[in-house]
Amino acid sequence: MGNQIHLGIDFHDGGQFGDECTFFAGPEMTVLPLKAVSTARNGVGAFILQCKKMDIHYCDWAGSSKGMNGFIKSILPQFAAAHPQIEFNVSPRPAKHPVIVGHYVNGKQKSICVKNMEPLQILKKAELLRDASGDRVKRMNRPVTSVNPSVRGIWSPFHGQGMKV
Amino acid sequence: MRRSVNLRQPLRLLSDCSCSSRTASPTTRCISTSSNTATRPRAAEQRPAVRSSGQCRTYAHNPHKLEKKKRWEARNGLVDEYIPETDPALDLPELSIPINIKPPGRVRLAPSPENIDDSTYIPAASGEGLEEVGSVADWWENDKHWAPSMNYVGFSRREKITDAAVLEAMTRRAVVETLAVKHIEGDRALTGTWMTGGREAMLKALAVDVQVSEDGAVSLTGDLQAVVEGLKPAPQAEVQEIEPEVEQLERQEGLETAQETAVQEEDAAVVSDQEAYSDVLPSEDAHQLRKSWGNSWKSVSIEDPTLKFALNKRIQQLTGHIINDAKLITVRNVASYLSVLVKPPPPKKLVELLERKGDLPSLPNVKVYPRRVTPVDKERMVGRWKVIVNELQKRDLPVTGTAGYSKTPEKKWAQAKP
Repeated sequence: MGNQIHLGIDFHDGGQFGDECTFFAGPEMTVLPLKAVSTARNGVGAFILQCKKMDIHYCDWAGSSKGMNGFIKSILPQFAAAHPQIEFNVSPRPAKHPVIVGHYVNGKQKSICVKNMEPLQILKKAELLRDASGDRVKRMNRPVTSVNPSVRGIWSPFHGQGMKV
Repeated sequence: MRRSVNLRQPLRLLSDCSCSSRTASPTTRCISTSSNTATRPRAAEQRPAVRSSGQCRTYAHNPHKLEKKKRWEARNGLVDEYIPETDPALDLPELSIPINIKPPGRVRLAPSPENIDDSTYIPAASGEGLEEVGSVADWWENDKHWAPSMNYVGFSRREKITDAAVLEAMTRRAVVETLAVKHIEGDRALTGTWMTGGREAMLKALAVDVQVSEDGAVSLTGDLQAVVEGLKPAPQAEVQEIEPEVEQLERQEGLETAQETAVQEEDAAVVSDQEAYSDVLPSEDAHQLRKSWGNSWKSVSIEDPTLKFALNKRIQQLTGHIINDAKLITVRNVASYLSVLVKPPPPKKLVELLERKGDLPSLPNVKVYPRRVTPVDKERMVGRWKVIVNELQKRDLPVTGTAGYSKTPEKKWAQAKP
């Protein structure tokens, strides 16, 4: 074989379909065969929350932050304790409306202005950001959407009994 | 604080005059309320007569205004001649009661242009640019026209006590005083008027020892009679003829220069403040006393409504704090009263409140910032700010700001702006 890279398939016993085969390459083999690796499915085995960080901004003076201040005071401690996987940064933003910004594992972020909202309304928005995937909002116009391929597999003319003409 | 002048006596004399007497006097005019007098005659003599006292109302009660109006009418030819009259209603008797206010003097009118001898005098055609003199608009705003005794003095302390130890000491004083009055003079005396008392009265009350037994009985050890006497008003001095305070002030002004008066006023203010707050215990002393007393005295029961009301009233008088009824109902003993009374001032910022509560900042996944998180802060957090500063300085560029450089002109060209 020398220094040539030889890549091929060696069928044992003349080679028939269904026979066992091995991949081979030369000693300088740099190309490996593709391995069938299962795609990552969040929730199968482990679930990783897509929201990794929340920035919570409020204003001490403005009236539109009244509900937000109440939320931070009374609801946020329980909410933050229930979600230890999310990092919460609470900081003032003087003379601005209150905002919650969610940061996601895909690098994107979503922000919701919660001006003049009641604390429980703000909790709903925080839950919305927590449950979001970070993807852009997409139109779902099919009744069923699945990432799983068909259980029947792709049709092949070489499989099965074949068709007699 | 605005104050209102109470000139009740002269006004009463005026209002006591019957309407019929006013109709006889030309100084008062009544306007009929009936519709047939819609067109008013010009001459004063032709004015409709007043029908009855019930059908008319006085045009003005102020005799000065009426005088002024009559003078105006005479000037404008509405009446033949203005003769100042003496109305029996205006001849008020000299008041013998000293008044602690200084009312403005009579209005003096400038002579009319015809009566001026100076031939070079040219009367102004309009009021623009003329100096205003003799206004009484701000008369009552000037403190010199009021006696200091007319200032409002409330029941509660003017400034609330905020120090926790001093509040506790004042509560103890009130408890001792209330229990002493109840013990010596009975329940009826609890609703009496108590003097605020000075420093001596306070020290006497604080010197009393309070012991509470297991069955809840309270025993006071000390000079209770002196404590009760401290609540009563001091015996009055010999009655002297009181000179009106305003006159005193005027006399003072005449004798002294303005500078000396200012210095004296300052001194007087300092002295009066010291007098007013001489019953406040210094904070250090209050802390020491609180340690020496312990907490056992706080179990004194105040479930008796009469006692509780008297205590609450006394604490309001001493500290300036008013406990509302809803909270007062829940109070059973002195300890629970103190928990309602002694509370820290409300925080001005949310961060202060969160730090005080402590539940949110203590979570490991929560960070609370006291001020706005700027872009520079965000760079610092990831350790990139130092690198940015170095690179900017290397290129001789400003670290923050624009250093006077304008925005890129290419952007303007691209947007086709002029």
